Amino acid sequence: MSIAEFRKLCEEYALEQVDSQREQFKRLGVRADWDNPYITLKPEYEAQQIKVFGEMAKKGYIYKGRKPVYWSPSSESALAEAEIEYQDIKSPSIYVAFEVIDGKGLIDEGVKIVIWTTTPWTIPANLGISLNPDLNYVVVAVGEDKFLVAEALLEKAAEAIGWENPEIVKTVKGSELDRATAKHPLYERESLVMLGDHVTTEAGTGCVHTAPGHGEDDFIIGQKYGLDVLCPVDEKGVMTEEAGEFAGLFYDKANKPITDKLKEVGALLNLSFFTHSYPHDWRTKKPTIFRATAQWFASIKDFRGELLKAVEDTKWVPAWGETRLHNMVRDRGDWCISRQRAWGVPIPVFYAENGDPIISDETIDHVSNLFREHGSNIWFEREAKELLPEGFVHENSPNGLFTKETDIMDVWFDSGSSHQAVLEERSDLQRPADLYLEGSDQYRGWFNSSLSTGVAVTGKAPYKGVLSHGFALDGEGRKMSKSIGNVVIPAKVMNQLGADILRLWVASVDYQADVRVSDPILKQVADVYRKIRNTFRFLLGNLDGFNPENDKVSYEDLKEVDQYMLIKLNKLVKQAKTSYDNYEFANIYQQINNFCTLDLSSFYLDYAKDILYCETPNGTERRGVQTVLYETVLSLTKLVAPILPHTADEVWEFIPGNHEENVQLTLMPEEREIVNAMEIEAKWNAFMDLRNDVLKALEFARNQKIIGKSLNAKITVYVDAETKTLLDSIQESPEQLFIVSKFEIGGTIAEAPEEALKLENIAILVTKADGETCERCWNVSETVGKNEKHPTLCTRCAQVVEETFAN
Amino acid sequence: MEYKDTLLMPKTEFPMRGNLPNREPAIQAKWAEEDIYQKVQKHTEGRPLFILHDGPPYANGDIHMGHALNKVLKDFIVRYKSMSGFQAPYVPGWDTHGLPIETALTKKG
Ligand SMILES: [Zn+2]
Repeated sequence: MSIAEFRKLCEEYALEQVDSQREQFKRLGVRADWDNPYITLKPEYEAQQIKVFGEMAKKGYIYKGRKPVYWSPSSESALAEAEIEYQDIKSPSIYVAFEVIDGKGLIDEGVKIVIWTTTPWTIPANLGISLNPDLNYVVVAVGEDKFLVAEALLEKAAEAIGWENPEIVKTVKGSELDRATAKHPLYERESLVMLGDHVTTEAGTGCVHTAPGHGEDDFIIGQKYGLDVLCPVDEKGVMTEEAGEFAGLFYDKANKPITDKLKEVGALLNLSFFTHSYPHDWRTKKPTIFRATAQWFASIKDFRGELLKAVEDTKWVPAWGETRLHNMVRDRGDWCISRQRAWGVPIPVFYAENGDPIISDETIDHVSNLFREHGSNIWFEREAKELLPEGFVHENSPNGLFTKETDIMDVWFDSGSSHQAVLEERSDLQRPADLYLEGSDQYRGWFNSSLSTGVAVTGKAPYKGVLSHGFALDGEGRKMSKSIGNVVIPAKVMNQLGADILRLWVASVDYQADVRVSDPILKQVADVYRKIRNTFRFLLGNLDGFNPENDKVSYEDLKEVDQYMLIKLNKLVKQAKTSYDNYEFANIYQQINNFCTLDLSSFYLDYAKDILYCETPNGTERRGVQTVLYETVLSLTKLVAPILPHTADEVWEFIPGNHEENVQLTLMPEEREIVNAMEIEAKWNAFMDLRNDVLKALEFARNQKIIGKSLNAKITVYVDAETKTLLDSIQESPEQLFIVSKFEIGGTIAEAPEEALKLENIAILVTKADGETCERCWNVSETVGKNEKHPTLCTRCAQVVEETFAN
Repeated sequence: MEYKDTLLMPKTEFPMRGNLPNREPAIQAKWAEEDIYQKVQKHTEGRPLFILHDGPPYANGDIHMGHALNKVLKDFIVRYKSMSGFQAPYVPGWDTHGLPIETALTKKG
């Protein structure tokens, strides 16, 4: 199968996956332009990505080099730093002797320079030994042999190798041994002694095994001294012919035979094993190696300052995101953007006959246009010449021959170009975005790559703000895994509980850290949902027959307790909107939950029932309560709409009156300026404290079997002057507020009888209310029996029935 | 006269039970039918833009709770902004190149 054919299959597969994921995301209730998403394999996307590459090349940020890079033998590809994760592995640790050939007149021939390495497989690639120019090195005699190590590391080395009483016979400065030579222990060649500041006294011997093809520092110092970039390991991690007798062995499997051979030739001084943190391919989870290959790079160092400035100009939530990205940008090396794979966007580079790469505005524009028209597969379907503008000539191709690059781009370059390929490309969007929001693993991923290409192309970050969330863990805070069997699958949650429950869970958690989810946690959330739904149902049920256009009572005409509820509602609106603005959804969850349970369910709705069910249907009192319910259901539906869109849409259709057809087309409720709000709130908060005392007394009386239901009770309170003033100022029926049949102020606290429950500012006496139970409202009243036509009703009920239902 | 008939007890067709697993797909079908996304965009046209740019998930495999968390958080913000004086277009994306798809295909044979 040709590469182009294989890529067609990849495209087909990817688009199937997109379709499948799209349906799953839609089932979550996510509102998006699902019919017209952006997909990185789309021609218009690829065309823009080529432009990003071209722009960066034009600024001189793109270069080709042969360089050791993180190489993953398991995926046969170079890896970006972002694709590396560290895991512990067991490695050999060996001390190896290199016999001096030329000691620069200071060290005798045959003295053994001691190096330490944890990668015996790189010994065949050894071309040198690095010393620190400023360190002292000592020649020590051990039996018949003489060894060279750094003075500062002598003790450690002696202990590790097992030297007893090494005798120092000579001390030299590292700088004095520049360009000395030693014999490679396995091959007929020399290793060059070089000087570099990267040599430290942290570990080893101060004489550093240097293989320019297998390490970054090694490469740099090798360049300086003009060494080759020897790399006798192929893309699969297998040793090549250049490794001599070890050819054909996987690098990791070569450790043992190489160590054995070193031992055989007498160069192995010590072998042990230890566990250490080692870079792994984050996808295959297999170890990576450093391996020199020809690669394309984006030079970060050329615009690191601009990157750091852009980080500073961005708003990070949580705030530690700024430090995270700042450090990442500060410490990162150049970005290796090439991959030796098939499925990706080709690196749009041509080569002239002499091998020089060609990247110009003309070629970039042409390739970008070709991709826009045909997709990037054309790169693999056509010859280089057919991909160049017609009649293209170049001074380095006198015969008009050209070849093309076959590497593709790192996928982080794909997604990292989205600010150009999506925000700039589409007329409905703009750059910079207001917000990027991803999991916290994207600081090194998409936040990072987008910043790099964004700053390279525009000089600015592609985002104004970045928000991150944690990972989903199980109920005990463990990673979800199939083997533990603790994986919560979204599709299952939606089939069993519904998307709105899953969404309410999202709202309930402190998402900026790692979050927990399990069946019991979801069940708790479902209980909260039920409470919210019941609240909506009660509100809607009691708005039956309410026509807001005619029946609404103006704020001034409402009873104070109704005004108090509107003030509370107003506060909720203000708090919830602030929480939305700050992306603090768990606060909204709490605020709405508290409002439904504490303010509505435990107080106001309880109080309102008698009025709603029993009072004159069209009376101001009942219409006043309904006005509050109406305002509440309107505001509450809007406030929950972003979190519970399905439920909000459903509720909306049951709200009476003329309103916008869909809650999604409305604006969040406005906070209202309410005169006297503070005063009324203070007064009624004080009343609520009092009410709590009364509820306590009722509970106590019920336990004492003095009363059954609270509607059987008569409350007599004994209060201080302040409380009396409060109670006297309340116009509402105290019986309805306390849900009892009779309420009286009996006198001062001092005058309270023995049996009264004495609390801090009040004493409360609970007795059975006198009179009969009204058949209609269940209040106990002495007025029951007074009306001849309705002998089983209280006066209030008799009057309502007479007036409203007589015929 | 039956006095209980003179009480104005709550009355609504709004169901007590959410029955979300069955009801939600019907609501979503209605959204698709009326093209709610475009409807909202049209309705909010001319307002200042709020752009939440979707980071593309990798197009391979079923979505997990991490995806759900991510997309739902984004939806909270976009829906809120479009109800708060902004036009908040939301264009979802997918990351479709790279090794995992090559590997999946190679495995498929
Ligand atoms: Zn009554």
